Order: sequence, then structure tokens, then C-alpha cells
Amino acid sequence: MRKESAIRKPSGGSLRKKLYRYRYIYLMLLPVVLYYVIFHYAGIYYSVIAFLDYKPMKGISGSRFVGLKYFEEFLKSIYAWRLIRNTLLINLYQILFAFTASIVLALLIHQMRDNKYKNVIQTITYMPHFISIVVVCSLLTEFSESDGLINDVLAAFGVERTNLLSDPKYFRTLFVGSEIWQNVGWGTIIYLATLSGVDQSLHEAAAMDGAGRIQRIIHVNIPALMPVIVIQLIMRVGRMMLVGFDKVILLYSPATYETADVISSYVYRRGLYERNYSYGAAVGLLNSVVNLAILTGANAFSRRVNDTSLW
Amino acid sequence: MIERRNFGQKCLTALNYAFITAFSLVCLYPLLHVLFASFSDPILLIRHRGLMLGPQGFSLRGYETVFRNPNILQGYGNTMFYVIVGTTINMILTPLGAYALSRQGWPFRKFFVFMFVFTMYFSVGIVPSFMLVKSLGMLDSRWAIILPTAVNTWNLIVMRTAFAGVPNELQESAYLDGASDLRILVQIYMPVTKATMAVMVLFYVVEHWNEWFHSMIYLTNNRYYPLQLFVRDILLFDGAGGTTEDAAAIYLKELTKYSVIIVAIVPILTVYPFVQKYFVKGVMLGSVKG
Amino acid sequence: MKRFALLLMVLMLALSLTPVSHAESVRLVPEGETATLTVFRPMDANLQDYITNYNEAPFYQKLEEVTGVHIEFTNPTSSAAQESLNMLLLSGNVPDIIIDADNLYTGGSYQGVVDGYFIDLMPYLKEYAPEYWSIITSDDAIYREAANGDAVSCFARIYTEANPAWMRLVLKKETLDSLGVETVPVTIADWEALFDQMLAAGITPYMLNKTGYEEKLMGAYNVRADFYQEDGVVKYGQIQEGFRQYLELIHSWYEKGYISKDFISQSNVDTMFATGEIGTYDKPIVAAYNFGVSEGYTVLSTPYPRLTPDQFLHWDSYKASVVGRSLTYSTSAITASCKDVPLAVRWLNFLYTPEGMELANWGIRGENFDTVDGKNQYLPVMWDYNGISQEGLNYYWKSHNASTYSDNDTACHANLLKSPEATAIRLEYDDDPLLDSAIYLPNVSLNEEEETTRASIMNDIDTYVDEMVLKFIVGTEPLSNWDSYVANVQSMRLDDAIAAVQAAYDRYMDIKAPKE
Repeated sequence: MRKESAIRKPSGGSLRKKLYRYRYIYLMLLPVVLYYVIFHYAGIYYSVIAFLDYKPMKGISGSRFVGLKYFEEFLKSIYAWRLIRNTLLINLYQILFAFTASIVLALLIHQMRDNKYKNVIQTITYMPHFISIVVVCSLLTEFSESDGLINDVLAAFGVERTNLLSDPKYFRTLFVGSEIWQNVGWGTIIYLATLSGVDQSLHEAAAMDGAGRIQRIIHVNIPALMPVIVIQLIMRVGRMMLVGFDKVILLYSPATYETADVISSYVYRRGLYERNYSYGAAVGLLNSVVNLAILTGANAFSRRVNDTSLW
Repeated sequence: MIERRNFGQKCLTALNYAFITAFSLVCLYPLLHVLFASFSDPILLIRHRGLMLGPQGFSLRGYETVFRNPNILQGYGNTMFYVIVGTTINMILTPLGAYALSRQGWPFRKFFVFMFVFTMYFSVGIVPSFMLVKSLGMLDSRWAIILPTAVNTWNLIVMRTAFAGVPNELQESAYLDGASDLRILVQIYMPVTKATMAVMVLFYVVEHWNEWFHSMIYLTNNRYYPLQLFVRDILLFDGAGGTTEDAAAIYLKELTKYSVIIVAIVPILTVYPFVQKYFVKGVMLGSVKG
Repeated sequence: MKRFALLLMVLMLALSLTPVSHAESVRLVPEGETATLTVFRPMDANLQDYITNYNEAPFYQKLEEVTGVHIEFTNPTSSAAQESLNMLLLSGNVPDIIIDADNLYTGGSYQGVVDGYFIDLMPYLKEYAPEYWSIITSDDAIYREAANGDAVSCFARIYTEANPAWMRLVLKKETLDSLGVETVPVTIADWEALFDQMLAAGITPYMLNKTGYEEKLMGAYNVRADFYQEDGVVKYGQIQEGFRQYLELIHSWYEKGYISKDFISQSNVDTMFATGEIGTYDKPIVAAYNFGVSEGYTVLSTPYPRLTPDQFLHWDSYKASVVGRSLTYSTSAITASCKDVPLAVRWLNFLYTPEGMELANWGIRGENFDTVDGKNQYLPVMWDYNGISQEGLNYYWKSHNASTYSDNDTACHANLLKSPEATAIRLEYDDDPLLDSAIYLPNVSLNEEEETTRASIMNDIDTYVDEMVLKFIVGTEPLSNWDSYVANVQSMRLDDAIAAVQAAYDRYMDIKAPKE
């Protein structure tokens, strides 16, 4: 809100004039604002069930108010720490591996001179992005069986065959690995777009100075990518507490809860499967609030260090 | 000195090509695997282990089964509806919002940017969302699948960035000619950024095409189910402990899993080469600053 | 009790054979009028390749024709049935009738009555469901299982006689022949010897089911999973010494490679058995047998595993009751949103009238079955029609496992009646003299307070225990941690839950069917 007054001050009494002048802009924005109000902000009202012992038959007004009972119940439960840890770790690994993989692949593809071949490679690496999670998980399950393809490869290196999806120690690897498979190519788009905009004269100048390919990557390409990387990274860190549960519930089993169960899948199980609607809403709400706090922190940090910020 | 360097460079280049080629084979193989399997003979397929470098035998029975399944056909129809109507609504609302945000100087702009971006990081969760959709009276209707995803904030921001890159002169001269904002958007902004528009359409189409979770919770009537929900059902089908005793039916079920995957991804894969040439131009996400 | 039920059955059949013009007599609404009920019934996985709505099934078309009640179905896909039901309950737009309520409603249909979603049928049964009422009150044992104390939460499937066990560990005769084994294993030591031979021949011996619980093997250690009772004392299986021994056995089997490494995320097990990749698994016997017939191999059934050949087993669950509440589709509950409860009750009751029983168990006379020499016989369409799979046809022409009154499977299950051999293999080992259901805990009726206690405690315990059981089996948690595991379970207020079930069990034995 402080930001508005910052706008208001210099314009002073002309606010009404300005509102009038931009009336068509507001009119165009109206349907979009309505969409956000109805489908995103109105939903916050229903989060009150997190503080109620919500019984659908009794409605919101008829359900008993229980305050923070469900929040406490979650934080005290034996699973709270494990869920938070798994959520954070899966995200951390995704940032460490999936996020950087796209950057590396973009730098490598950018080095290719043969445009036709480059095109083919791009077409192929983008393709997995279009496949639905349901299909990806089904394939991953098949390939992870003890006589599946991944085991064939591992066996060639002398690793003992096992079902990879039933072993907690492989879950994160498979989760992040399949994420890389599906989205790394797609993730390069933005970096390749940026690289293609790099001034060619910079490269020429560097080459004149005797810089080799690798040095040019380090001194020209990477600095050019830096602003994009930082913004992307903030946005990614801003989702530190969010994991798409659909992929998790398609891949996990009680045998792998140890590493696979994340907050969102737990909410799904308790809230939807076992009908603890209020408990599910409470944990979900807590998750969102903590996530927002992390994002705000990351943004503030970036603003101070890098002068780059989301808002 | 120079020779050695050239040799080193060549090695690097060769290494780079080799690595990227190997990697794209890894990307491609699972799709080929499914494709080959889908044309295989059910019994040979069951017995097959390891890499698959071509169909095992040849049969179209998987596809016959898929296309005879009334649920799949109905699901296809529903998915087409969601893709067409949903994307149309997306491509009306998103440019409107993006245009407004791309213009500078109007009061409360930052407030609205924050209002939109906030929703990317804060979601109320499944149960409250469900109750909202219910209170809007949209449960068990097609609107429950289309309206809650009418604007994707990420796409909105990408489009806003693209609009911000349109030269100011174009817009100013149009104003002088007496054009309205809506006209400027439709007749100048959208054509100038047509690469971005194409990519946006693709993003939305893919989103609608692959959607299954909302359908699962907002729809209980299978009349409105999209294709992906039936695909999920076929893929998750597990005969173990089941009482199906028709061997041929069980073998066929395994084959059908592959055929249905192909049926579910081919339409979307055929759209995307047409849009691919716009990718690099279209996704100039230089910054997402508000 | 059996005799009485049979007598009743005979009486009813006699009634049905009397040539009365029952076309009008069974209509639930006056001629010329129609009424509509809404029904939630998941689309059976075997049928969903062929129809999109149950109104396309001849069974339901006929049902509508004779009762005059039109049904609007909600048919979620089977893999999302539970989520669908929970969302419907949350939305308040619940159909009048929920089929398979005991399985789909977490905690069972009685918990649904306690929670206010389902209604107690007790006040309606005598007046609107006289047939069902007379069946469940015909015998104290039936009444105890079908009713929950003073409440009736659903219509349940009742058999005239308990079913022979339908799942056993199955083997391929060809496999045994190739290994030079002549008899099927009896003791656990026999099984281990066979598994060693299988391993040597490159066969993965055993596909354990994905939860890690196998009641047939636990039974040898005289323990059952979850609640069971010993001499009237309720116990929780997963913390018993017998269960520890079971886990030790299974873990050692896993370590030795007897159990497939893929058991937790198994798929295609039927085909793995057919192609000889795995040696044995727990499977509906007749389904496995008929599968073998169509593939040209012979399936063998096996007796329950024992520690010694003369061990007396007490765990049997199949013959413990004639009330089939756990079978898919076997329970039907009426929801609190139902506007016309009497009609819904009468509609569900129809399948317990002679006409309804005939339709549900046999299909349509003249089209699906005929009576020859006073005995019903299926016509060929029951086994082969329009490419629909065998199991699909059981839900297409008739309503397999529906809440109705039925003879047991040997009398009217199409899969068994396919051939005399199919019936015979189902009955093999059925006369096991060293077997009873002494430790089986019947479906006891907890009152509202007990049920709330049990549910809130057991939700957490089940999650924890299911996970630990798998960890013990694959060895990520060593069995040396057993004691701390037991302590953990007990610290989750297990004793309170046991006390609640014990109280209900103590009352249970005294429940008597109301006598008119």
C-alpha cells in the first residue's frame, strides 16, 4: 500500500484526472482482476475451515471453532519434521541439479554451429515437456523395475538389481532425474533466447584478446545470463515449500514415505483420502505462509546483494 | 601453439556434440520405446525385456481397443472442448491484463502487479479451492475445469514483458490517430509480438491437454472427464488379485497402456513443431520485474 | 443356521417359480409413473472399456423396467472412486445411494452414519424392506454382522452358506514338473525347499502382495493383521510376537531372493505368472485356473501353509461369516441427502425379493440363463459376448457381488460354472479338517464414542505400522528395532483403541436378533 502513496504524492491532486485518463486501461484490467478476486482471493475465505472442526453437513457457521488445534497437532506429530525436510530437500536438489542443468545445456547448445542439427536437438529435448505427469510416472515405474531399463544400465556397472522405486534412498534421485529428463530442454529456451541477444562484438573482442572457447563462456556468456539466472532463481526459491503432489502420489508407497512423503502429498492423504478436511486445510495454509516468508526473504536478500527484485 | 589450440578446440567441439547427441538420445528413447511397444504383438511384448529398438512383432490391436473404448472417445471430445474453449478464454484475458500491466504511469499499477504475482506463491490448498468452486455452483460442470485456470500468472508476466518491448512510437502514433487502447492491443501489440502469442497459445494448450487433477476432484460425472483421466485409469490398472481370467484380455490391457499413451501425446506433439520456430523469439523473458 | 437359511432360500425360490404375474407386483411406483434415484457406483475396471454409464448394462435396464425406478448414475473411474466420494461428501451434493460404502468410506459405512453422512436404516427396514429384515433377523449370527448394534448402516450381501476360500497361493503344474516336484508344498519348510529349486531354475519364486501382509503366512504363526481375538481377548496383530516371527520369515525370504524385489510396486503379476517369471502368488483360484486353461497350462491350488503338517490353524476368515461386507460392491448405504428414503430402501430391498435375487444372481431369464430340470443354467452369452471380458460380463448381465441374498459361488458364479474342473479346484482343500476361525474378529459394532476413539487413534497407527512393516521386510529397518517399534505403537494410545474394540466385542456376543 505504501507503494501507491509513492505514486500518488508527485501527482498530487491529479489522481482523479489520471484515473480518468487511464479509464480504458482499468476497464481492460477489470475482467482479469475479477478473475483473481474470484478464483484466488475469495478462496482465502474458505481457509477458515483450518480453524474449525469442519463438518460439511453442518457448514462453516455450524462447525465448532477450534483455533490453532490442527496447526499444533501437525507441528507436534511425528511426521512434521520429516515432511518439512523432504519438501525442502526435493526442492534443494531440484535447484542444485535440474535448475543448473538447463543453464549448462543452454551453454552447450549455444556452442553448436550447425544450425540444422541444433534445431533437431532442440526439438528432441523439448519433447518430453509435453507429456503428462501420469504418463511420465507410468514410464518411470516400468523402467525402475528390477529388470527394467535403468537397472540394465546399472547392472552393466555392477550394481545389484533392485526395484528402485521401493527403496527410499533412490526416490529423490528418480524424482529429480525424471524432472531433468522432462524439463531440462524446455528450461534452456529462456537462456538460449538471452544468449542469442548477446552482442557479437563482445565475443570478437574477447577472441582478439586470445580468449579460448571456455574462457569466452566464462567471461562473456555467463555474465550475460546472470540477470536472468538471478530472477529465475528467486522465483524458484520462492517455491521452496511447494512440491507438486501429483507426481509424488503417483510414485511413492509406504516403503518410501521416509524420503518421498512431502507436505502436499500428506495434505492430500489426510485431507482428501481420510476426510480430515480441516486438518488438511490447516497444514496447507501453514505451508503457503512459510513459503511466502521464504520468498520474501529471498527477494529482500537479492534486492540488497544484486539489486534485482521480483516486485 | 595455434595448432595445438585448434586441436584442443576441435576436441572440445567433438566432445560437445557427442555429449549433446547422447543426451538427446536419452530424451528420445522413452518415447520411441512407447511407440514401438504400442505397435507390438501383445504376447511378444509381454515377454520382451531390455532395450526395444523396433516393434516386437506387429499388431494394431492396441489401437483398435483404444479407439473402440467409448470412454476414450468421449474423453477425447471433452479434452478438445477444454483445449479450445479454455485456450480461447486464456487468450482473451491474458493479453488484456498484460497490456494494462505493460503500460506505465497509471495509478495503482504496482498494487495490481503484486496482487497477481502473490497468487503464484500462495495457494489456499485443495479443500478451500474445492469449496470455492462449489459455492460458485460450478461443481460437475465444464466451467469448473475452464474458469479456475483462466489466467496463468506466469504467462501473464511473460506476455507483459513482450508487450513492454514494443516500441513506444508505434503506440503513440496510434493514439494520435485516435485509436483506442483495445484497438492498439489487437491491431498493433498482438501482431507485433506474434511469436510470443504463438508460444502462449501452445503453453495454454499443453496445460489444458495434460490436466487431470482438477477434473478428478471437480467432476464426479464421467460424462465430462477429459482424456487424461481415462489414460490414468488405464495406466494404473493392475490385474494383480483381480479376477479377470481372460488371458488375452490381460495381455491386451498391457499393450493398450502403450497405445493409449501414444494416443494421448501424439496430437500435442504434432502441434508443437509449428510453434517451435517462435520459441526463441517468443520467450524473451529478459526480466519479470513489475 | 445354515439349514434355516437354506430353507428360507428354498421357500423363496419356490415362490419365484410359482407362476404369478409379478410384472406389476414388483413395481415400486404405480404403473405409468416413474421415480428417479441417484446412485454412486464406481465404474468397474473390467467394464469401462465397453460402457460409459451403468444404464447401458442390461442388468440395470431390466431393473428399471421391473421396478419403474430410473437411476441416475454417478460413475467415477475405479482408480479415483475414493477421492470422488470424499469430494462429493464435502460438496453436499451426495447421491441418494452409495454402492460399496463399506470399502469406499474410510472407516466403513457405520462410521458414515456416526459422521452424519449416511442414515441409520433401522427405522425403515421392517416396513419398507421386509425381505431384507427377515433375512438379517433370521439368525443371531447374521444379525450381529449385518447390523451395527442398534443401527443398520447398509444393505449387505448375505450368502445362504459361507463361501469356500477364493484366494490361495497358486502354482503352475508345468513348473513343478520341470523341477521334478510331485506334490504341492504343505509346510513352510516345503515352500522354502521349492523356492530354492525355483531360484536355481531362474524363477523368482514368490510375488508377495504390495502391502507386505499375507494372512495365509501370518496364520501359521497364529496371528492376524489388525484386530483379532484370542479366547475373547481383543488383540492388535502387528505388535504380537507371532507377527514378529512372520516378519522375520518374510524378511529372510526377501533377503534370499525368494520374494520379488518388485513386490511393492508390482504390476503385470498375472502375466509374470503366466510366462513363468514368478513361481507363486496369492490369487483368486478360479481366475488363475481359467487363465491357465486359455493359455494352455495347468494351475494348482495349495493348502494353507503350516509350520508342521499337523498344525491346527485358527485364522480362517473366509468361512467365518455368511455376511460379505468386505467384497467390492457388496454394501449399499443411503445418504442423508436422500429425499425419498422409503423408495431408496424399497429399491435396495428389491434385490432380496425372489425376482430381484434371480436378476442379480442369474441375469435375465431366457437371455442369460434358463431353468433345466429345475436347476438354473447360464447360457453361453454369460461367458462370451461382444468382446467384453469375462469379469466385465459378470457386472453387465448380472450384478456380481451386489448387495443381495445369494447362494455361494459354487451355485451361481459364472467363473466357476465354466467347467466342472473350475468348480473342483475352488473346492480343493476346502474340507481342511485342521482349520477353524477361532481367532477371527467378527464385524463388531462400536458405538459412536468408541468408533470416534478408534478412528482417531488407528488412522495414525495404521500409517505408521504399514510403513514400518515394509521397512522391516526389505530391511531398511532392522528387526532388532522391533521393541522400540512396539513401544512407539503403544505410545500412540493403542490401548485405548483396543479397549474400545474389546467393549464392543463383549457386547457383540450378547446381541440377539429381534424376534417378532
